[in-house]
Amino acid sequence: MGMKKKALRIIFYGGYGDALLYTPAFKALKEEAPDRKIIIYCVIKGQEQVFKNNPSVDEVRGVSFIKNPIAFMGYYLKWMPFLFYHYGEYCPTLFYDKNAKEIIADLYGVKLKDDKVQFFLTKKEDRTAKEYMAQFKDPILIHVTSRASPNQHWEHDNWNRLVEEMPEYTFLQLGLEDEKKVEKAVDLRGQLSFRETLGILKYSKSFVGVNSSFAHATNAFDLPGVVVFGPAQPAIWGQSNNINIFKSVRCSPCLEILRASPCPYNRLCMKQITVAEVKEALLKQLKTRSLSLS
Amino acid sequence: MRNEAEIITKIEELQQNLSLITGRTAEEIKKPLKDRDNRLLQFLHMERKVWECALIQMKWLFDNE
Repeated sequence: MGMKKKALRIIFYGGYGDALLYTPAFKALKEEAPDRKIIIYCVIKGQEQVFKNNPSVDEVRGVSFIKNPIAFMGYYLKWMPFLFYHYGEYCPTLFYDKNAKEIIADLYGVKLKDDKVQFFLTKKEDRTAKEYMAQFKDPILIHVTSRASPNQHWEHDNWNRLVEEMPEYTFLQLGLEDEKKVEKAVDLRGQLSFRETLGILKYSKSFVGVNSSFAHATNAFDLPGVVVFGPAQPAIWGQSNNINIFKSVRCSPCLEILRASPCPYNRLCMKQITVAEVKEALLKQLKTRSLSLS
Repeated sequence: MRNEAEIITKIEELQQNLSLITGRTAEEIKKPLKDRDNRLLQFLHMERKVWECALIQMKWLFDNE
């Protein structure tokens, strides 16, 4: 029991989406030993945004020597134990058949009672997001770019067509400024922080996009969305609140083989997904969501 | 059992796939060493083996027909 009270120091490395996928495991770790302090050291700047306000995480820090001299010494001189599990190294796409959240929990030796992604807005963030979203009629968030691999991209023209075919809804495009613009979608690229984006996700009618951090984030709010998959399979990366569209082709999944290298088959797996089926899935999801922003 | 025409069509299809891969490999190999995408080359190598193996099997089937 004495061991459990010691702080658990976790070095976190990965993208925003990975950070979200770790949160159910951190919740389970906290529940296992509520008195034990969980300290997360984020290798990449900005990742701490994901863990802010999370009751399972006691402290979130960067990895600079100046700010953490004792932890640095503890790490290099092996005075303190640090956990550094990056599930991506185990090539889940190739060798696993269960959800990434469970794989992460296995690495930390915990069982997930609740596999929901954990993300907590502050009251102010929540209010701001709600007020912001009130200006849009039936807002649907759209994210078309995968930072992990361009092979996960659906034909850009398909996104344009999807938005065009559903004029009764307001599509708000998320992402960074350098991502390709979807015609007729409200352009929010590069305008919101990650936390602000997740705030508006909570108050949207639905989400449609590629396998990305925002697709994982929908799980935190039980937002019914639609996600298109190709080089990675939904069994690992999909969230149960979404309709995950995946057309298995012979060479898929290849995410951990090709990574960002260009697909020689010109993204055959993504090309199998039609606008009609994405639209149908989205309409189905929209029926399940009632949203009041007043 | 498949008829001769069907097997020939399948062989042609597999050959097309193989030439796509060999063409893409040749293109990548032309690049200077430092610019080559090794991850892509490994994938292409694996794919070439897949199509070559399929072709051998189909030709064997064709010979037996």
